[in-house]
Formats: sequence, C-alpha cells, structure tokens
Amino acid sequence: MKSLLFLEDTSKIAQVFEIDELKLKEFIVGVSYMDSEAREYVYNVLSKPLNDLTLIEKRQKLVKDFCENQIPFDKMYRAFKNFLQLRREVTEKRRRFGNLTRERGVYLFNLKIDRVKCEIDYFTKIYESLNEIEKLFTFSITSPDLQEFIDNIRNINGYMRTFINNIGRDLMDSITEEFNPDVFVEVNHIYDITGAEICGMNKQKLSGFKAADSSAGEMIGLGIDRMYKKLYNINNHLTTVFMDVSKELQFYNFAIEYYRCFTSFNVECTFPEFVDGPISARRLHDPLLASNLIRRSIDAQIEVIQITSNNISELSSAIITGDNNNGKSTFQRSIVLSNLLAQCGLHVPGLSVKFNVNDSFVLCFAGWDKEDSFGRFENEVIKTAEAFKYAGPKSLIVFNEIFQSTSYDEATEALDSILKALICEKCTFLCVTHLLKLTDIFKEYDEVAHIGVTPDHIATVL
Amino acid sequence: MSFTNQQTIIEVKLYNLLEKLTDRSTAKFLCECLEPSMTIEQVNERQAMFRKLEDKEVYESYKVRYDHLCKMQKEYEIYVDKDDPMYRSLTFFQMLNEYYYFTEDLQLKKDIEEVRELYAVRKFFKCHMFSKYDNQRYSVDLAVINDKYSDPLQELFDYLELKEDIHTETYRIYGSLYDMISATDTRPYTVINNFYNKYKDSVLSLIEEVLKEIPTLRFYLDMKRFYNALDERNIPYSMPTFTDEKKIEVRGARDITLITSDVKNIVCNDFYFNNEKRFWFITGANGGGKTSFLRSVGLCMLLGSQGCYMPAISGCIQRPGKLTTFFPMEEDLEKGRFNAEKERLAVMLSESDGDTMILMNEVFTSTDEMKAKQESEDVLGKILEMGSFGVFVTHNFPLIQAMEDKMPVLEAITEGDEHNRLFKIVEKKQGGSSFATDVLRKYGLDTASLRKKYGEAI
Repeated sequence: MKSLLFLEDTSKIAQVFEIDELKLKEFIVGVSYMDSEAREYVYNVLSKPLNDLTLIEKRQKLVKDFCENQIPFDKMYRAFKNFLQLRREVTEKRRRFGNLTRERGVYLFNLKIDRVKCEIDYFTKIYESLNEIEKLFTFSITSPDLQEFIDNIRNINGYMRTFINNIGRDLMDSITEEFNPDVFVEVNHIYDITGAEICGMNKQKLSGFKAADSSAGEMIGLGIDRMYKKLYNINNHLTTVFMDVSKELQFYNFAIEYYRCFTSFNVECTFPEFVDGPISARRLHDPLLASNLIRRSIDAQIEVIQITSNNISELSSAIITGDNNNGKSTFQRSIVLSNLLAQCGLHVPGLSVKFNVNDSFVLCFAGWDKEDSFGRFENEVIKTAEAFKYAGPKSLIVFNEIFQSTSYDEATEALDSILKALICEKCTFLCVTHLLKLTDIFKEYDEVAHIGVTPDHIATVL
Repeated sequence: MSFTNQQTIIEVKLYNLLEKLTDRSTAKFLCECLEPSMTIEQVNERQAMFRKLEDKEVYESYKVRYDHLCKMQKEYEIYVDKDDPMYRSLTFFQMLNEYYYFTEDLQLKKDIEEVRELYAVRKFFKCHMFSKYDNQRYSVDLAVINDKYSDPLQELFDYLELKEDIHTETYRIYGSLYDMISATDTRPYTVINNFYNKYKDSVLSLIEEVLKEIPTLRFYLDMKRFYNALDERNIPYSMPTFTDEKKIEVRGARDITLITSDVKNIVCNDFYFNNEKRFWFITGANGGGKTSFLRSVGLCMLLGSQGCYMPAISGCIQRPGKLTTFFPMEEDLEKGRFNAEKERLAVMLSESDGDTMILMNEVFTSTDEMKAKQESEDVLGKILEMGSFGVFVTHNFPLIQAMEDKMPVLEAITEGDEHNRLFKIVEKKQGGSSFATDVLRKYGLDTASLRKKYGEAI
C-alpha cells in the first residue's frame, strides 16, 4: 500500500535545524484533541516538510479532499484504528496458544486446529473492517493518490472475499489418499484453498486416518501447519499495512482539526502559492499564538477572540526590531511556522499567501547554559556555525535575539558580518534583535528590509 | 513564584553534580535535605557530626548502624502490613533480630539469642517459605525443600507424589501437608509465638523511635559519599567558620559542577564581601569563567550555610542567611522574557533583605542597551539600599560605567594576544571587552575569517 504522506524519498524532505524552537508540540496540542501517541506522530511528520513542489501539491489535494469534500473521515479513521484493537486481541490469543503448546497433557492436534480457526477468525474480522471502510467511499475525490488508495483497498477486499467463500466447515467428504492439503496463499493472489476445510477436522476423524494410512495423517498435520503459517503471515502483513495507514491518517486527522479549529474562529486558512523570490501575504497569523488563544477561548467558553495578523508585501530578508512584547517573535513565527506548515501540504492562516519552497529551515534562537562546559555565547556561536552548513539560495535562516550574552558592540559587529555572509550565500534570513545599530548598517541593502513592530503588534517596513 | 533553595540548587547545578557523583535517588534526597533554612545551632550540630565522621572507624560504625536500621525498617513495614498471625510473629522476630543491635535490655537480648538458635536450625519456618496460595494451599520454595536437613518432610513429599508436577520453583501443596509439617514438630512455632506475645506490646514504640534516626543518618552518610567522590578527584573542601560581622571571605573556591562536564583541572578563585564592597559586577571575556565563578560562590554559600563542607580551601562567612539566584529565563509566550524577568525580580526583591546573598546572571539582555541599563540601575539601586551581598554578571559596559562609584568590578581575565582564558576572576577598575571575537574565530565566524571567505562584501 503506497504511503499517503510521500516521505519515502528523503532527498525530497527539507532539512530542519532546531525545529523545537518553533514549539510545534505546543501548536499541535492547541489545535487538536489527539492522544499523545498521535501527537508524537504528527510532530514527526511536521518535522519533515517537503521540498518538492509536486509532492507538496499532492498532499494539498489530499488535505483538500479530507477537509472540504465532506468525507466521513471520523468513521474511516475509527475503522482503521480498529486494526489496533484487533491486533491486541489476536496477540493475546496467540500468546495463550504459545503457552498451551508448552503444557504437557494438551492434545496438540486439536490445539493446532484451534490455532488455524483463530487466524481465520482474525482474517474475517480484517475483512469486515475493510468492508466497512469501502462502504464509506461514496463521495467524489479530486486527489489521484486517494483514488489509488481506495482502489487498493477494494482489490485486497476482493481477494479476501474469495478466500472466505472457499472455506467450509465440513471437509471430510472428499478426502482421499491423494489428499494434499498444500496451501498457497499470497496477499495479492489467493489461489485454490484445498486445505481450507481443514477447519472441520477433529481428533476422531484424524484417528480414523491414522488407522488407515499413517502418512495421510502426517500430511494433514503438515498442511495444517503450513496453512497456519501462511495465514499468520498474511494477517500480520495486512495488519501492518493498515496500521501504517491508520498512523498516516492521523496526520490528515490533524489537518482537518487544525483547519476546522481555525476557520470556526474566523481565522481564514488557504493553501499558499509557491513562488521564487519575495514572499507576501495578507492577514497572516502566527499559528502558535492563534492556537493558544483558541484553546483558551474554548476552555473558558469565550466566543469571540481577537488575534492579530499582519500583511506582508514583497519580503525577502528582514531585520525585525521593536520594544519588548510588541510581537517581534510572533511576527517572525507567523512567517516561519506558516511556511513550514505550507511545505507539509497544510493550510496556512492567511490570505493570498505566496511562500518559497525552502530546502532548509534553520533556527538560531538565544541559547542557555547547558550541561556542557561551553558558555551561552559559545553555544549560540556553535548553532550559527551549524546554520552555515545549510546556507544556500533556498534556505530560510531565522535568528532570534542571539548574542545577548556579550557586549552590544561586539554582538553588533558579529551579526553584521554574519548577515552579510548570508547575503553572499543568497539565503533568506529573518533576524529579531535589539541591536538597533544593525538597522543603520543594512539601510543600503535593498534585499534586507527593516521591519518595526509597534505596541499594537503591527509590523511595518521602516 | 517564591525563591527557594530548591531553585538555587538547580540553577547552580548542584543536583546534576550530586546525581553524577552518587545516584539519582540520593541526589533527590540530599536536595530535599538542603532545602530548609537552618539556625546557627542546627548548623553547628551538623558541622560537629561531619567532623566526627572524619574518623574512619566512627564512619564505619555509623554505616553498620544504618544497615541494621534499614533492615529493621524493612521488617517493620512487612510486619505492619501482614495480618496472617503466623507470618506476623515470624516478621516480628526478624524485626527484633535487628533491634538487638540497638537495645540495652539484657533480658530481651537473651530471648532473641535463644530464638535465633532455634530459628537457624529449623530454616523451613522462614516466613517466605510458606506463603498462602489460596484458602487451602500453600507454596513452598523448592530450594528450601531440597535442603537435606528435613528427612520427614522429604518423605511426605514423596508420599504425595508431588515431585513429578514440579515445573517451576514453587510447589503448590495442600493445607493438609502444612498441617502434617506442623504436626511433626511444633516447638519452633510455639517458641516464636510465645516470644511475640511477650514483647509485641512493649517493644514496638521503642523500635519506631529508633527508626526516626534513618533520614538524618542517611543524610550524613550520603553527603560523606559525595565528599569521598571529591577526595578521589583531589578537590579540596573545608568547613567554614561563622562570624557575626557582615563579611564573607573565601579562598580557593571551585565550581565543582564542572565535574559533570568532565573538566579535570578546575581553576579556583577567591571572593570576599564586606560593608564597603557588598555587591560586585562581573564582566569580561566570553567563556572566561564568569558563570562558573557565580556557581562557585553559590555552592560555597549554600553548602556552608547548611553546615556542610564547602568546595573551597578555607572560608569565613556571616551567620546563615538566604541565598537567591537569578539566572536567565526561557521566553514566556505571553509576557515575553523581559516582562517575565521584571516580574520575577520584583518578587525576589520583596523576599530579600540585608542578609540575603543575591547572585544574578545576565539579566535584562532581551532588550536594547539603554533600556537594559536603566532597568538594571533601578534594581541594583534597590539591592544596594537593602544592603544585600551579591554578584551581577553583565556585558553592559555603559551600566558598569554609570555605577562605578557604587559597585566594584570583577573581571574574567585573559592572557596574551590570543586572549587565552585563564578562568581567573580578579578585581578591576572597569571592564572593557568581552573578547567575543576569540570565540567567533574558533568557529570561523569572526569578521576576518568571513572576509577571507566572502571577500569585500563583509
């Protein structure tokens, strides 16, 4: 079953450095009610933004289908999650069988029959789940990948239907000395299940065989073992495939929750256009701040909330200044986090958004005293040096108040040289800083805007 | 959010150090013990005990005492938990077996010795041997059954043909077998029961009283373990003396938390505070040891004022007062770092007085230079008015210049053209540079290196 996330090719995944600075986990918690395992999975997917436009657009189509086409996603998602429960049940049964086979005094042949029956029962339950899912696909789909996914489910379902129709319970009618309970069962091609009726076998009937011809009895036993192994492998394979799918669907579940959460609070969300060159957007929100405020509003049952947004026009690199708590980091994050979400194929909280497809996101935030013997300043320098490894025409480098733990003059000189070096590398950078002299230094650079954020959280180009 | 010793312990990284040199649960326990503030009497008592433990024989004897206390504690917990009468009397005996080392009651000791002798011979009455399986059956440890001493027991098992059903270490036997065993020899049961009945009401409260020693003894032994680890690394430590004068003088203080980063040669520094020089600036080269110095002051003051050895060659400190540390905070999404720091500083000032030692590390760096200077001057003014001792690490040279008459300056010094860090902190008239270029050069990010790579664009 092909992946619905398109993460197989690692060369098509953008590199991200110090992604935790964007507080993705907090963002995920803010917009969804998922359990911790699902949140962890979604976080891992969001940490791997795509850098291939074709793949991004494929995901966008899937997200669009799930969000806007009224697919009964909840039911489908629950049906896939059902596989987890099935797996737990069969694991417990298999474990019990394993224990029983080790006990003396248990008649092994009956046990083997019971084991096969257990696997067929499991197989049947998988089939019933897939039936349920198949019935849900009655809507129109725009995404070719989703169509392919549904066709795959229908095919597997068809094969399983054939297998189940061939299984009977009373099988001894046609047993002869040439009886050969050889069973070939593959995922994609299920052949004649001659041993299928072994399920009806019992100890008495086998004893009858033994008396007549001991080799026939042995062959039946062999057939039972072989059938069990095949079924065991098929069931495991099917379960793994659909469990992987149910995990991937968690991402789309998140996409739906995020979209519905924001739009229900009048935060308009759209798919961005991807361009080369300067970016722009109207009414762009910081997804993290918005999610926090929305969560608080839901918990406090307040209906109306106000979330600041900003307009961006033809922006490449920028130095962002402003008084404390004006919203410099919020503005910076509205661009960076939204761009990251966009490259994951998700909506962004803004209108007429034009972003770049970045090969790397590099975040250099103010450091802390760590367990190592380097000081704060040196830790930040190490991060910045690391950033240069990713620096290039399609990288987005983000600085947030670094070099605070040295003198202002020395910090200004350092950042001055570093930012100019990044311009030489043709990177895009966004630098939040209190080193006001930098804005004078970069006044003559057309490609670097000076953005001031005012006390009412509005960012303007100065 | 109140300022507590726990916070200081974390900020000076004492917890991390204790964890490295002992283990996690010991580190947690010791940090809890170091939390409450102490009176001078309590401090003196602690110092006396540490000095006593310097004698190896005394130390070993306390270790033995602690072992017996722990064993007694374990039996006590089992005893209060069990309601099966047979089990209770056996556990009671186990508990008193340990109490033997603490009691001076000769009759009790004699009775314990008598039961001990019987107990050693008839091991199959050990409490873990017969554990209840259900209403009728008991399980018996196979290892115990295989002991050669009990032939009648072996015959019984053979008779019941139980051997063939052994799959694991335990038998499952019926109550009738248990009754058969007790029918073969009732004496041990009777003796233990009699012992239990004689002492159960009188001794328990005495035992509970003795058990109260455990946390205190544990603290000293665990700290001794910590100091032994410092001995192995040849790190000196000493007991401070106390003075009623308002002064602190410490020689050879070390930031021993550098052990967690595997630093081998930890440079020591002296520090002093008095009425003329109460609050100091520290400035100087990045990576020069300013924060380490701050931690060494914090460690000496924290441990010294808790009656423990401090990581210094010698020292004299004023009577125990409060220690408060203020290290940089994480970004607060709502308030922003600057406002969050301001709020926290206001709380700190309200909880401090003239006896508080305040250690501040790079405060107000998340704002522009002038605002940082203004806010810092405001806070430092209040601190100086209170008369607290302390240190303020900063790179804000305009601030240092503005307050040069009120606050002396310490500097992390360097040596030579390459500004090698000596990790020595000495008194200077005024600091001038953080020598950030040296650190940048190390990673090819200084102006000269970048110019070499990118040309005149830099």
